[in-house]
Amino acid sequence: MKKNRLDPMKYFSVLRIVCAIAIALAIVFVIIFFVSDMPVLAIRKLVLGPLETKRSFFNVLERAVPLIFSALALNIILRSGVFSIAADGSFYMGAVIATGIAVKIQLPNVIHQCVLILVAAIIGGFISMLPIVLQKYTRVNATVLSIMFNSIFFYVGYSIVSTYLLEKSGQWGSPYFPDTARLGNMIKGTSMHWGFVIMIAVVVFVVFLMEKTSFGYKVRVTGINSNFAKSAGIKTGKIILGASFISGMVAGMGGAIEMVGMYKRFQWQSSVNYVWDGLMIHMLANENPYFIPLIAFFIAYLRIGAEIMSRATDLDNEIVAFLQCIVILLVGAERFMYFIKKRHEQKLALQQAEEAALKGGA
Amino acid sequence: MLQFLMSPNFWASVLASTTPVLLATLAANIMTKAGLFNLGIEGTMLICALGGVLTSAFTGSLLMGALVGMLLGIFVSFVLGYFILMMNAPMNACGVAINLAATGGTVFILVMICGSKNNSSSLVSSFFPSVNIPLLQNIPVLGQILSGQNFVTYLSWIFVALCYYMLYHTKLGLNIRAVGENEEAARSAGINVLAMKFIALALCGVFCAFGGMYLSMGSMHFFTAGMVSGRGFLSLAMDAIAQGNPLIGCASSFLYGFSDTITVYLQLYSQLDLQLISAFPYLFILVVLIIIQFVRSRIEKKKQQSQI
Repeated sequence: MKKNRLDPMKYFSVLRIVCAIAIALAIVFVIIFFVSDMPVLAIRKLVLGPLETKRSFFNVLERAVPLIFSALALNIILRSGVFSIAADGSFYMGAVIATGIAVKIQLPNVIHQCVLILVAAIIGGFISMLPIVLQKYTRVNATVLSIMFNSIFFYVGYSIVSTYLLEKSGQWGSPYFPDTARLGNMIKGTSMHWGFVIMIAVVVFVVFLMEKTSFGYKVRVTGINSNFAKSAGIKTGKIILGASFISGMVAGMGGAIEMVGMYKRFQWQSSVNYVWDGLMIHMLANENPYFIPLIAFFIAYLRIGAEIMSRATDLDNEIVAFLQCIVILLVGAERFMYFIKKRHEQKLALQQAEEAALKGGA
Repeated sequence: MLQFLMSPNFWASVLASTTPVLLATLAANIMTKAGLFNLGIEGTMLICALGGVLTSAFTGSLLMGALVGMLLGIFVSFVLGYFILMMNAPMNACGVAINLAATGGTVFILVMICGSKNNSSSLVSSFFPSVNIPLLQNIPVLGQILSGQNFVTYLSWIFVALCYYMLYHTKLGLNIRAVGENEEAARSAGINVLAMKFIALALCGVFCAFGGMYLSMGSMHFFTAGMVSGRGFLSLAMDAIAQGNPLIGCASSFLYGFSDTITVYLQLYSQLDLQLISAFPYLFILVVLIIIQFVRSRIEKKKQQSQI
């Protein structure tokens, strides 16, 4: 009898996230109605804009790639219970290193891309380890350390590009990448690149690592209760260090792929801050790497929709920021829609009590 | 090359660039003392900076601008507090949400009202005046450094003193610290934990508001997008040095002001790459933080050993 009934709690977290997104969208629509002269057009462009042309639809897919990389990177480190956002520094430095190898070293096709992604990944990994190592010796909050390191690595990366890799003429930026370094187009007529395939491979790898291996299990246990993990014989320090290294690798790889896949030359003059989007996606995916690509596509869809909207109407695309804020707050809030869970738990408890009473009576 | 260290102008600008970080650090201090961690200081400052500018531009009154900025700061902190304390949301994520809303939302509102994505220079907004202190301004070097600073700079020093006094010499401060040290113990001693935390959040909001408004209505006379540029995050590092003590927080903010101003001068005089020098304040604070914390943990270890 129990088997046939659907367990409502299984879908509770999904329901919560859907509700949070719906509420956020509703609030954004209300804002649009208040401030815009042509609200209906604006909402139509925001919601349906990316589907209107083939080009903008593929824009959504390629926009999601860096988001997925940074969300995966955050997923690994945050689930170990350490709130370090060093993935941002790894991402930026990954792009810088990829640029350096692409411009300065000549290698045959395929090998060139592999080398630059690999080196960017390894250096990204070491960068992400720095705050964790320093936290161990100084007991400073890893969040603070990682934020400081992000700023430092942004300036260091920027100055590496402007000292060693700068094209002297024209706009600020590196020389154009040679064809051997770029990830070529996958589908003609779009700017879709092979990084998309690498991204899928990395998603599969992270899902496997976090859900199916003993390392992933140890990371999760450490994150849920580090004292329990310690007393169960898990070396939590090493596990967190390993998690930060892999997280940095994913982020560095993401930076490299984004750079050689999407751009013809390095022109990032401000820090890219994919890490905050990554954090949001990680939270919306309910800390579950399976859902990260899906949520990232959703966020990228909204971003592209907002850009199309801002081109067609008088509204600015930054309106998405309100949406992000509301969604994070609501999804993060444990008490949001808590009453459903509570009612269910009460019902369950009552049922158990009745069953126990029946048994006792018999 | 280093002769600029002798000039009063240099030290005056050290004090000026200390002010916003000092206020943000105070905000972080009081959060730490109440047992909270507020990543949203950066965003709160940004929101208040814009709010103050817009209100003062539309009402034409500095007082109204400052008041609305302050209320906005308290409001944003209370939103954060509501989600953290009443809805059990994770602190870090909520702070990030505030930052995201602030960076994007301020630009959105700026475009709506001023039509520009970068700054509000099309509006005529009022600003905090510079204050010349009588008597002090006549003393040669000291007068040039200490007098003629912005009103908010003096206000920030008063805030530091008041905050220190409040935390360590009043019952309210004692209660806040008790809540921060051990929530359960404080509750069983009859302290209203939630009220204490919200008082701390309100103070945090006020400090953030003045920090933000100093940027847009003091050192500059208009709002530019993203003008807080990491000062709110830096304040968290200052707070890690100070561990909640406003006086040490003040000292470390001066250290930041010094390194920040020296960066400006180095960019003028040295051959190094501009961007590499811009990393200097962050690196400097990080090194100071690491050294201080390392020494601290050593001392703690020794204490523990001697107890055994």
